[in-house]
Amino acid sequence: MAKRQTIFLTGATGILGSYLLRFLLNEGHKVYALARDKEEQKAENRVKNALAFWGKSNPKDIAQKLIIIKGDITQRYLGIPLKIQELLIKEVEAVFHCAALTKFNISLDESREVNVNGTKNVLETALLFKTKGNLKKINHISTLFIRGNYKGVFAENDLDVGQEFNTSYEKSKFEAEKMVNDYRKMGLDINVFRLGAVTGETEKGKIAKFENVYQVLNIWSSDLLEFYYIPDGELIMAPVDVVVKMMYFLWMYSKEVNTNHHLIPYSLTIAKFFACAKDHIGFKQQMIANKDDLRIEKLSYAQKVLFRKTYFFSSIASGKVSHALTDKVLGLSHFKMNPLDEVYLLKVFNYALKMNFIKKGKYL
Amino acid sequence: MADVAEILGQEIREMIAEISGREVEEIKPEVNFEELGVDSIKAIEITVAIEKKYKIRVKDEQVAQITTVAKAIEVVKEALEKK
Repeated sequence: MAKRQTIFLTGATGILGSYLLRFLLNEGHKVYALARDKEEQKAENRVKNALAFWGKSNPKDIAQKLIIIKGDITQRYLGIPLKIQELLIKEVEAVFHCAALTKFNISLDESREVNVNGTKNVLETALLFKTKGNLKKINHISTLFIRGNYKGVFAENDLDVGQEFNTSYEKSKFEAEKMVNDYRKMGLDINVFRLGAVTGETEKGKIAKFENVYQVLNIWSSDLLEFYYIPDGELIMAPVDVVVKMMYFLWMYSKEVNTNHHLIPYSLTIAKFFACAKDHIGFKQQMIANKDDLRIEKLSYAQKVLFRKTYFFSSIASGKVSHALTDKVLGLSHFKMNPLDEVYLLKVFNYALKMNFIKKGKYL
Repeated sequence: MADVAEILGQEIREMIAEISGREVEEIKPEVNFEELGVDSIKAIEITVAIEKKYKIRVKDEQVAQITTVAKAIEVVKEALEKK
């Protein structure tokens, strides 16, 4: 049995972070979870609610192993009071930095504030934990979207390949990784995990919030546009349970320092994803693969706005991603997963249907 | 007999109910989309659905203004009158 550690976690109320929190507690680790008060909701309740989404907890477990800290990654030292900082310095052995703004259509300033400046504050705090305390490893959650419009094969050790960015999200997460490299030079040991689109867990397709591909599914199933742009490219899906397990294994069992990892549990062409969704959810729209064949100018302004929101997929019409290094390390750690196929896709669709986020179409 | 405005209002409320997944009774004119859990994507979906049903085009500057049930009805009325 692996050694129990004390972990500092950001983004514990998020799609990925909440599942990771559950997983770490189940594995017997102690977790300090950072969260903000948001509107009327206190940080403490937000984390507990996010955790409860993934099933009932043993109250004793929670009382002894989960400590919720009110703070904000946009503030220096995350807005954590000095007394608590001292406690964290003494105890924290690893950091998982999951907090991020994942929205695509917000301004670059907004994205940067959380994704770049927030990461800087987390790393600055980690540096404090390391120099004065016992911190060994930082795990930074990144995204495969940082490759922007790069058409070549993007490998784990690649970062700046001259790519251009489709969204403020991509650009800000790219800048965050540059920052990670700066802090590696200052002596921090940082794992970077690059993920695809985070989707439901593999048993029932359950997920806490419907973002990325779900938003597009919602528009597809609305039956409001005549055609959709389905570019040639791969959709890399990140079932939340599988990627959390992968990250856990890579963190616990890899002896390497400062490594980037590409997590690719399930990848399929966007065209295949569209075809499956069309059959299962039931819509009749045409798929247009060539940008020049789109008749966007004929759309009304509102239709154009809606159409642009399906552009999620144009962002991922990039080149291939290699994951040879990650596979090698995962192989050594005895990580195992069942191969995923269309059955998983149907679970993803069915959960969104069950929760009424998307509706069955009339064209089945 | 119900007048045209009343029928129109009822139809639009039904469309908003369908897209937001709420009951028609909850879709009162003064209600804000946010209170109905209608996010920016669903708000645009409502606008496009309205355009499709009434074969109208909502003006560019009006698209962002459709954030309440009453405003949605007002925009449709205005567009239909000009037709």
